[in-house]
Amino acid sequence: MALKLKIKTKLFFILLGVGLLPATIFGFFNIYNAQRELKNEILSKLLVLAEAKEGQIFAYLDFLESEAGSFASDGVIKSKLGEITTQGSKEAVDLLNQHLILNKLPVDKAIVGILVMDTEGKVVASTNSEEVGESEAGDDYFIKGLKDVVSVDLRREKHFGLIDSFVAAAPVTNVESGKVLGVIAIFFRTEKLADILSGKFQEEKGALTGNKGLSKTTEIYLVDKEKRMFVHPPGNHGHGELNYPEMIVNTEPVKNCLERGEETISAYRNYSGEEVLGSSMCITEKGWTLLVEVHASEAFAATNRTWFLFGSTSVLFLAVVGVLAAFFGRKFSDPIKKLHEGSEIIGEGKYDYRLHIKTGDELEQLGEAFNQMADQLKAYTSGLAEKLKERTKELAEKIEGLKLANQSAEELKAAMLNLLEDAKALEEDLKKERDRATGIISSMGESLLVLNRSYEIVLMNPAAETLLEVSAKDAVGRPWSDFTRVYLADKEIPIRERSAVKALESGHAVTTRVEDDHYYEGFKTKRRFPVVAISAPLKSGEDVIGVVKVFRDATFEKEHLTIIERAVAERTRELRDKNVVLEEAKRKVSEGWLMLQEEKARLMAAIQSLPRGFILTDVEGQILITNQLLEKILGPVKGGWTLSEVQNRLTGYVEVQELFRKCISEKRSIILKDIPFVSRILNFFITPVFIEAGKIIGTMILFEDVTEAKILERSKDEFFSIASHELRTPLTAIRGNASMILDYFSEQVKDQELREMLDDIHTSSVRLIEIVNDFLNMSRLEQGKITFHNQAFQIEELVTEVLDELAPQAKQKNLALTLVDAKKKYPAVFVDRDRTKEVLLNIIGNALKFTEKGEVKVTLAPKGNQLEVAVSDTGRGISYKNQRLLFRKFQQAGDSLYTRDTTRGTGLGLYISKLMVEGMGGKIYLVKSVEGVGSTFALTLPGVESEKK
Amino acid sequence: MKKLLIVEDDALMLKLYEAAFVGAGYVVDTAADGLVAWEKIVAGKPDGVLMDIMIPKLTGLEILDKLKADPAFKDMPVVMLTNLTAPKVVEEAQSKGARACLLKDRHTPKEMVDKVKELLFAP
Repeated sequence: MALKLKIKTKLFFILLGVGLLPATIFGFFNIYNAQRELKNEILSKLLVLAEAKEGQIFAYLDFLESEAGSFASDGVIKSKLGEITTQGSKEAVDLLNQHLILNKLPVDKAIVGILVMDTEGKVVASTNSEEVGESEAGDDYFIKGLKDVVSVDLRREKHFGLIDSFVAAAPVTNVESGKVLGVIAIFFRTEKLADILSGKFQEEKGALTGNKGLSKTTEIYLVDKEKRMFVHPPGNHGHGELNYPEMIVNTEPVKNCLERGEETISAYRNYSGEEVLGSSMCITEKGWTLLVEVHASEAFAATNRTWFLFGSTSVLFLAVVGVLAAFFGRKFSDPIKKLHEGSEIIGEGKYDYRLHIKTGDELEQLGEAFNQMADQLKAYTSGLAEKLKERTKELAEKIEGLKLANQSAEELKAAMLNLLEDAKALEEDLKKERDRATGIISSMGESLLVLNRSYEIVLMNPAAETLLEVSAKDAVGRPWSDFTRVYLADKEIPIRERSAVKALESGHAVTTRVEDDHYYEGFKTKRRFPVVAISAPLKSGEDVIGVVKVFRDATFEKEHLTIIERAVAERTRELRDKNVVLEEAKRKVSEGWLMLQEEKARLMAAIQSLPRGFILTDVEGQILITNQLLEKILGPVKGGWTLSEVQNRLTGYVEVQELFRKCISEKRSIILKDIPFVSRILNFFITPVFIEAGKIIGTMILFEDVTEAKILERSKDEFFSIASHELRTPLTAIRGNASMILDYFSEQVKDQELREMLDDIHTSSVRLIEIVNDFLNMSRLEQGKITFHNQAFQIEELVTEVLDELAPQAKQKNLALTLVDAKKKYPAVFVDRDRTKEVLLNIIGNALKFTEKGEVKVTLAPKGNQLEVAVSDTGRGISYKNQRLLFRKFQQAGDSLYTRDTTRGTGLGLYISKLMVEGMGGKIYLVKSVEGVGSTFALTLPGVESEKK
Repeated sequence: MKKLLIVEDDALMLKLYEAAFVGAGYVVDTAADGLVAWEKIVAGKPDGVLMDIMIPKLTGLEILDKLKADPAFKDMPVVMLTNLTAPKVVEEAQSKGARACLLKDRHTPKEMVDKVKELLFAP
């Protein structure tokens, strides 16, 4: 940012700079140097003084010590102390005390008291008898005094009425032996030291060097090793007597002395925080610091005066230069300022303004050029201003007119608004009143009607609308009797006798009570209800102008009494009935109990003789009843059965507890077969025990030992398969050889009879193999050992294949063998193709076998999701009696076991077919059969669709 | 002439099949158990094998496995014979690489010769 200063200001500062700055700098340096020299001067003076005082203190201390030494060598003191310590002489004590008081105390005025101690530190004699007997054993001066002459400052130890004092001590020795007898200690006032510091002592002694010439703020004092001020003479320092024993002097020179033994000479702050110049001396032997200080304010008084003089001269100079600068600055800047102001005034449109600059230089020329420019501007703008003035005036007049018009319109509007508001307020008041009244009427629980003199309804409330079953909208303005009929008991009350009429005519209220037995009839449903009402005349002044009816449905009141009476009667009868029932029940219970006992006994007998292990539990799994066979199956038990005990026996075989829970929760029986339990085989059966309504009260568990049955079954199966297999091999050899002869060597068998015999062997062997195969098949089917490989295929194709295979047989008997609608396509079936083929071969083969004349035909027909294959023949038919034996094992219709035609097969064909078809999910059955006419067999096979489901 | 090895433990049946195939013009070798059968296959390298499944020492299915596992014999055509009607056995034999598995009691010796000719040696 550029500093925007006026020319005048700039000139002012330049002149100020040129005139003042050099003088100021020069003055400052001079004064500063002078001050520094002064400081050094004062400090050196202080140092000299401090050294002088130090020397004097040392001299005084030496004097004290020598005094102590002379006391110690006093013969009386030595001998008396000797007596006291060796003999404990009381007399010697008194004598010594006397000696000290009379002969020693007056030696020096500074002495306040004398103590004589034995080697144990016990005071044995003193100038003050109160001190005798005290122990000074731990005191510094005593310990040191035993060895040598010493001087020590005593702090805070009261002796001879002084808290602080100064002690010189010396050992007292035996004259002959040189043995230390004790210590003598002389107590001095510290005033003597103070006098030395203040210079008073020197003056008294007539010395030439006192403290003369010291300034009035000079302080000279001593600080002990605990930084305590202990000698501070009242002097010329202006502070008066200080309570110095309490004063801690923690200043720089004291610290320097105590911590490093260094003496200080510099400016610093003293104990009271005042700036001082000072010099210190360390009296290391005693831990004292001697300080000589002078307050900086006094020391620099002279230079401070110079500073003041310098400052005031500068200010004066500044003022003079300022005035001069302002004068000259103004002389240069005024015309320029006028030019600037003039251009601003012209810029505002005041073209009459002219400048007056009379400096007689270039600035005056500039002013004239400016005035010429202003003249031209004025000429140009004066025309424009005239027009503007006229136009403005016209506009002002128009606005004035509009203002007046507007004002009167506003007044009119305000008046109208007031009027409207009044009307609105009035209307609202009315509405409120009306609403309040309507509210009261509408919310009344009672029904309310208002009729005029012609008994036309004027008003009705919602309760009345409900009760009378008519809406106010329809009813208002029409006669009351049009809507409501009134009855006394069953008889209608004529209009003239109705209470509204009575009230209107009499001018008094008419009350209708429950006992009056009045009823109203609803308009729509014709519901009749008892009513209580008040009809009151509606008066306007003296005139009756209508009736108010207030009424309500009194059904409840009316029936209340009747209901109570009826209820009491009912209860009484119920109680009587119940009593009878109870008696009956008691009788039945006692009878039932007997029956129950009998029943129970029978049941227990049955359970015990049951050929099954038996358990009856409740729903919680508590075992209620078991039988003895259970122990035979599961092993003996101690202390009765529990479900967990049963579980223990069967763990790894049957999860009894889990099955129990499943049985209860799923409400169904569970059967587990062929459980190998140790060396036995068991069937397990659990069923829920229900009472009525499907409630489970427990479970029944049965264990069946099927070990024997299983062994028997297995040996039978084994017999069948082994026998069949072992039979077939030799049979195959017989048949093979017979057919070999017939196939390859028939020409060599010339004899006709022999040839027939070979034929018989062959035929028999073929049949035998068939029989064995039938047996084997049957056995495997019965055991469920055959698995069916179900697949989707077209049944019509399989039928055609079978018919082709059997065609030679049909042709031989000259029978027609056909598939009806052979070209038609049928839905695919889903069964085992090979097994189905066997079944078809058997059924169609049978049909051919038992038919001598006519035809065998096969019909296919879809039946739902299944496909029916029907085989009809014109054979001899099956008698009704024999029809039911069909599909049985070893049965051939029409034959008894002993008379049957064994040449025609085993009689197992249909039985095997049945097992196979049913195994594949189909059915086989006889549709019909008439003897001498023919039979129809059919099988249904599941289709692909049904399989998907 | 085609060399055929017939393996059958029942002596009567073996004799019957031998007679039938010799009569039909084959050079027939026989074996009554699995071990002998394997030795004769290795030593004689027959053109085809007609073998019962239920034979002692090594079963027909085991020999079939050995044949199929050995590169020298894996292409040797084999027809199995059985008396068992269980379809599982028949399927197993075929899955192991037998040309067919024939039921002994379903075919006369003549039919057997025709079948074997068709299954083992058809051009």
